[in-house]
Amino acid sequence: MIQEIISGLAMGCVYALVSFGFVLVYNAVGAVNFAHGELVMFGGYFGLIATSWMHLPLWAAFLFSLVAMAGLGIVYNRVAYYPMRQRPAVTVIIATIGMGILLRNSALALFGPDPVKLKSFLGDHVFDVGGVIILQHHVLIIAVTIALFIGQSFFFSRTSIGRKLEATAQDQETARLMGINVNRMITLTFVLSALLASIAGFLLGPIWFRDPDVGLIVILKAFIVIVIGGFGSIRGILAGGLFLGVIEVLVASHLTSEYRDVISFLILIAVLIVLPQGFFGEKVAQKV
Amino acid sequence: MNPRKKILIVFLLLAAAAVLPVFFKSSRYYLNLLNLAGIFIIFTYSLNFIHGYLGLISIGQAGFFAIGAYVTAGLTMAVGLNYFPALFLAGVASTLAGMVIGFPATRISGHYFVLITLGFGEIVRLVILNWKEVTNGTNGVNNIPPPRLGPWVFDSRFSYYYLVLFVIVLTLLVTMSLRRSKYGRSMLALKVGELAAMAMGVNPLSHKLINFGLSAFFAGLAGGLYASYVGSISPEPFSVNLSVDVLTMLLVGGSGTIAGPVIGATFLVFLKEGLRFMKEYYMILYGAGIVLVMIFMPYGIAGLIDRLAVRLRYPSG
Amino acid sequence: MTLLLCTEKLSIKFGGLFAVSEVDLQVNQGEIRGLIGPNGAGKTTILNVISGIYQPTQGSVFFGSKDITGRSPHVITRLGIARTFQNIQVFEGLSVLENVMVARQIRASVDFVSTLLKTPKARKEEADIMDGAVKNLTFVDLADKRDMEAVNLAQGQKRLMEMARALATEPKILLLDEPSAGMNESETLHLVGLIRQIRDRGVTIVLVEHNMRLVMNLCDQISVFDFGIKIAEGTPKEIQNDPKVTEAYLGTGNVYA
Repeated sequence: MIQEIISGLAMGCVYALVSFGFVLVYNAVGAVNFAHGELVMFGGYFGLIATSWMHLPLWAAFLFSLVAMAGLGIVYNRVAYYPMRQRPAVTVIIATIGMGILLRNSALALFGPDPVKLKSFLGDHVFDVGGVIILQHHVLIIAVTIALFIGQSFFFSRTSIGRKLEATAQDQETARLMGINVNRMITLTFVLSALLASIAGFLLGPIWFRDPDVGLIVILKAFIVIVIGGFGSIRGILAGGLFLGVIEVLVASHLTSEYRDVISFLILIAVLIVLPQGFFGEKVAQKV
Repeated sequence: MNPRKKILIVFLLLAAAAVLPVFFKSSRYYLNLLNLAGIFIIFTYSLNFIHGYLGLISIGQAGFFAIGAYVTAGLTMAVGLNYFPALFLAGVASTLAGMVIGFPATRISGHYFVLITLGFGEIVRLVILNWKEVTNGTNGVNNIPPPRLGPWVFDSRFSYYYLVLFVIVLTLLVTMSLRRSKYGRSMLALKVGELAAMAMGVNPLSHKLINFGLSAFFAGLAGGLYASYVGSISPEPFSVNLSVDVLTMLLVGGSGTIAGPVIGATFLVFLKEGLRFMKEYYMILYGAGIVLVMIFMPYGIAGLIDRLAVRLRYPSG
Repeated sequence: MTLLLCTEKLSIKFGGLFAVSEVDLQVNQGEIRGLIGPNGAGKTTILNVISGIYQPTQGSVFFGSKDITGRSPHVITRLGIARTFQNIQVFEGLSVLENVMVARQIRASVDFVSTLLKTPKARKEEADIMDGAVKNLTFVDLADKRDMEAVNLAQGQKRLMEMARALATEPKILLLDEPSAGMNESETLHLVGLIRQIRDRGVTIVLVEHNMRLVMNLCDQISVFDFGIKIAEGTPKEIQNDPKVTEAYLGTGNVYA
């Protein structure tokens, strides 16, 4: 049972990380990045390129992935968001859908459809805590996630650049008037989102077989987390992620493993019904 | 352009469409593409109701499509019902599902609406996948019989074309009738000014629900047509990817227009085919193509044509 | 003198501020009531609460003897209260006639399938809706512009169209939010005539306005607001002589424009 919960928490942490990266972009520019799951997948794939093709040690592969993803984030912003920033949101959504198709099939072309597994930093080692076997990798995931979430809280409220990013996310016009280079902040946001995706991809690698469709599954789970936790609350996302992760494991092992995802989506719908305005839907007082 | 001219153009195009397959009679390949495009045209029109009239994005249309497909297959095979009433009932089943999910869905706004449609689509697919007793799970349903009407059997691509064309005409008639009706006006008013529309007495929930049901109906019809055309169905294709494909077709073609779904569906079906020679790389180009269209043609191809038409009429701009 | 519209201790809070505070308003049937006050006094907010767009933080709104507090806008309109908007809200993409038809069809009852199939009953209803809408447009002198895109109308014409649209719902009470904004002298004169005709047809009118001459000429009673509170109420003559009113407007220049 403990083992299940730990693995559920670990999975939940990954969900939370993915959601966090997604929501960063959403809050900053109001754009739904449908290809965020593909970015997560690419984080893992870059690691694979580094280890299998370039024969780099794992830690170097991780750094390589970070750098490559940062670059991808910059390109992504320039291509899929920037040209459409003044247009209706739906154009950006479709553009990101296109990017997702592009990325997914690039991966397919590069690596083939067969699933591949990325190695963990901690290999298959386990902790033996009073008879209960816990994967060290799971503990790593939880530790990294908590560190990142604490770190982001510090980053956004205490550092100068963090505050600038916050300001840009709150109100671009005002930020611009305050002298903030909004375009640069937006690019930075995309980069941070990509980096988070990269980390999530690396952490996810050893758990899930990496195949090109994993991006879609991941983003769907992230949506559920965001509905539970709210678009604007980072803590909510962490809580939502952990909640979903644990519920999934428990449902799968005690109730039904085939309909596990149906339950997850029913939770999504139930939350939306109970809170029909969403977590942050104040009745919008439209100026009439 | 006055309505009379518009109707004339539509009529001419339909006449052309009716004659078209005669030129391709020997080519099963092109007829197949046209039929698929036709089915997707109907499918895209279904999304056009939600997006064109209400401005809402749905990525769960595949769910209704799947219900239409499986109900049609089930009624014709297990119950032995004739295809045409079966198809209609499949549409009705889809509409009922639309009402059920529409009830909570229409109460919530924007992004959360999208997510609820996503959840719906996935639930349908997963239930079909796992409810093996009824749907046969991944093995799918095979040997779905072709439509029969008295002495006619629609078992060739050529004959199927006319069946699909017939349903397209029906869809067009409904779309055009809706636009000129009180419901169409109210729905458009809701789209462009929800509060003002409500202040004029328009009930937002009932209109959204009707629209949703209508959309589900046509998606279901498309699914039923698909089922007996390809002859065998399985849950895999009825995923978010399919819903997203349809959304792309609508936006590339031009949402909220009569021509949009036709242009978008035909264009993308043929594009996918045309790029197939590039094997693994064609989907990469397809994705890139979508991004480019969004950058350069945000109102879709129909929107671009509209603008060109205005430019031509008023060259000084 | 029947009391038709009544608010009791109406308050609405946005963020930490009271936009409207403990407002008691009593409007009698057949009256033309003016709501005036400096910008930000809360006049439009009061209209928004009455018409159901905002929920009040405290207090109630009564239509006749019916409590309509916090009900949905479309329900309130069906009950008989219609309005126009300060920030013009024409339906983009619809023609002028279609704009009015949307409001006109408020009591249309033919079901969906019949409408789609264009049964004789449906066609008659559609014809009636169109005829009614044309009459409403003729009343405000816009009938010749019926097929224009509504967004292409001039500012003043848009306001008239909004009035026609609101009238199409056959209201007992008409709420007008700055109907003369952007109108020139002759348009304003035309507007005054229209409002009088509307009242003569039995509709009670509540009018938010900045044009003082219009208000003083037209209204039977005037209620004055400042910072969300009602500071004065009475006939135009009484209001003109009320020092509290002058003080509220002090600094905004000539009050009697």
